[in-house]
Amino acid sequence: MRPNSLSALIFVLLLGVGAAVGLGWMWNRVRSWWGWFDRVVAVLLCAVLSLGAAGIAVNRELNLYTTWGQVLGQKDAAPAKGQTQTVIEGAGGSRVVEFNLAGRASGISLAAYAYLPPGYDAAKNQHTRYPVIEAVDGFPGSPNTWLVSLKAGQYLDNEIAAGRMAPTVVIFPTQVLDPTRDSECVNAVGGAQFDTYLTTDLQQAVEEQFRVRTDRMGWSLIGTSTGGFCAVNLAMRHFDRYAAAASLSGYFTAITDSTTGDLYKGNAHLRDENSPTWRVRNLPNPPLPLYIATAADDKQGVAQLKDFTGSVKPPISLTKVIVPQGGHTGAVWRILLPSAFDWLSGWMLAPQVDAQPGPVVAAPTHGPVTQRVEPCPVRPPAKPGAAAAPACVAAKR
Amino acid sequence: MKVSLTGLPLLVCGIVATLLGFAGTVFLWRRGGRWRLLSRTGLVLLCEALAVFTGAVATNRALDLYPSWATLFQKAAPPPPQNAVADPATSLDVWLKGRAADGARKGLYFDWKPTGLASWHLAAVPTVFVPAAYFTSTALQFPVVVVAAAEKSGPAQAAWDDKQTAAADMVRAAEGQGNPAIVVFVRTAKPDTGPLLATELPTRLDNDLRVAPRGWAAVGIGADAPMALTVLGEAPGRYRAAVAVADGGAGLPATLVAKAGKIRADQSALLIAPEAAGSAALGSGKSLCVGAPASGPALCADSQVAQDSVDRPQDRLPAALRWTFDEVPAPLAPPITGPVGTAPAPTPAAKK
Repeated sequence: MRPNSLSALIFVLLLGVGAAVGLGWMWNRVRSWWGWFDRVVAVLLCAVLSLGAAGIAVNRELNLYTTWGQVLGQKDAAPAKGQTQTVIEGAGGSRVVEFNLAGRASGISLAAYAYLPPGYDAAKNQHTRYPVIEAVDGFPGSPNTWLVSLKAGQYLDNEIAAGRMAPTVVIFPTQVLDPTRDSECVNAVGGAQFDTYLTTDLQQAVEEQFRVRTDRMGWSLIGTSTGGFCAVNLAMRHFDRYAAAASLSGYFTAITDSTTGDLYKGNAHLRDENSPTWRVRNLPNPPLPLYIATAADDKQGVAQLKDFTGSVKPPISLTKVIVPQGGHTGAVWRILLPSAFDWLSGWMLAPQVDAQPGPVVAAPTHGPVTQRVEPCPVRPPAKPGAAAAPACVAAKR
Repeated sequence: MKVSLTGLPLLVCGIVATLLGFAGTVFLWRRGGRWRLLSRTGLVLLCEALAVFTGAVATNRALDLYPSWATLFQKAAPPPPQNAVADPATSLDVWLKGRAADGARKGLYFDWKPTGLASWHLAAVPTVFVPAAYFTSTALQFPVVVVAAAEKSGPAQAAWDDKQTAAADMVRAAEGQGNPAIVVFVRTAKPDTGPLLATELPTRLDNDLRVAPRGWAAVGIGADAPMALTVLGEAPGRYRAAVAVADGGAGLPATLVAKAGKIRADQSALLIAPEAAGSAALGSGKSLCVGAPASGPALCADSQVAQDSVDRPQDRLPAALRWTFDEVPAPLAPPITGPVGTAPAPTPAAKK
């Protein structure tokens, strides 16, 4: 029973009803001097259980916590360096692996996930280097927001199978050290260097561990909400590293608040440099295609979009999409994901056949269930003629 | 009257209802007679539900996650229809369909006579190589490589042999396991062809074949070498890679190297020239890439081309083609350009 499971929600709801019944039953039955103490405890228990049920319901949508250890503040151990662990097997032959993304320049080391497209493991493709999309989640969020809530793997499978998208490796990094602290994907003054981690370090680590293109036109960024800000900001700051970027319900002005802390330590210039709107108004616009999308009833999103896109100048190539309704929710992102992935793929170069074989993803391990999403079971090789085993899906509930 | 999900009235109602719920619970706590256990349980659960509801309304009002009841309950207008994409129809479809069996085996090389060809003032009818994948993947749009050379120049001048088998074999060999692309061979009567490569030829190709809307490459040979780099600046939305090929021992002019150094950061250019005749600006290598994706606009040696021998003019075009096939996007079906599908249950997400 996981903290994002339906069974956990039902269990806590039943406990809540039981606590309410118990409160009504025991109220007049405890008459000794500690009766008031019992009553206070019973009332608090009811309150805690109702809040717990609400929390699990929210977590079921956001998938911030998938193990009780995470709820208690424990950090999951990522696979050892160079190792991967398969956590999702797609029906079309794709798989999602977890790996340890250790940043040499930033010093940050966090778990990350990689979507490997159908055919990646085939012997005939051992010389093929794939284009890469880096998918950044919002805040609060985690790679699970992409993998479990948004089911990004299924959308990728569909688009690749339809030929609208080239086979592509998609990296889902973690953009926070602490789930309650938003990094904004920037290099904080005197703090975590997430800009460096998500650009220089990530590209280096991924190129070492997976068969991917190493040129600018082989890399792009996508993000939702805060991740949308990250995608556009990082792509504009490092346009020599990315071919394109897509923002779904993102904003374009750097923020600091109680969740970010003082990222810039009062350095207004640094803050400006991390604001895409300021950049397009005050710096030469880079040759960068941008896909900017939001919902029409997301008032803040629309205001940010208009403010930013109204200032964009060539050679930035702008694609603007506004869906009629959906607020600032995953519903909007789910209906936009296929077109955003197609769009990104159209701006990147094709998989490249290299003379030399690239790094081979180590045989997947299937360790104890300590990961954020449940590892897939080890299966014996299929016998000829036998029915195909059902695909393993993430976070079985 | 419709109460807004994010409006103050709903929040006030929630707070009042919660307070009334607590007050009512206190008031009714000792009442209920034989049903007292049931009533107490109901009252406690009602208070909890009201408190959670009010908290959720306050949070939603602050973060503006679900702006309307319709969004919350997914009673939105029907989602926009998915941009159903049929196989794109082009004017050569019927003609190509009749040759599909042959084309699917090894591609097809043919003379291309588009509308308005006479006004292009070319030295000869352009020829086109369509890869085998074009006939087997009928929804895909293919990137294009346009190769331009002067009239009557052949392999000895770094150009191609007009004989069908020779040209097609050269493209197939260069394509290898790489990315399939349509190759258009153009014989120019003079080096300056005006808007031909930038606009006229792409427009006609859009009409005649399933071609990708962007990510094309141009290869200019000899006197046409500058044209390949010029088109990068004239049509950056269409072309993103160019190769300038020296046609003999004369090398390439320094102005061309300077021009290649000024291409946009999202474009790539390759200069192929013999070492002996290479200008100082070309450096000591036999081939240089300019604006290579990983290196930005600086000059750099291209490892792949460096492995090819380009001393002999006839080896230069195959090397150029091999390089361009790595510099174009994958053949893709037309993308979905708007929102798709039935919107599933919304996911709340905190927002700033």
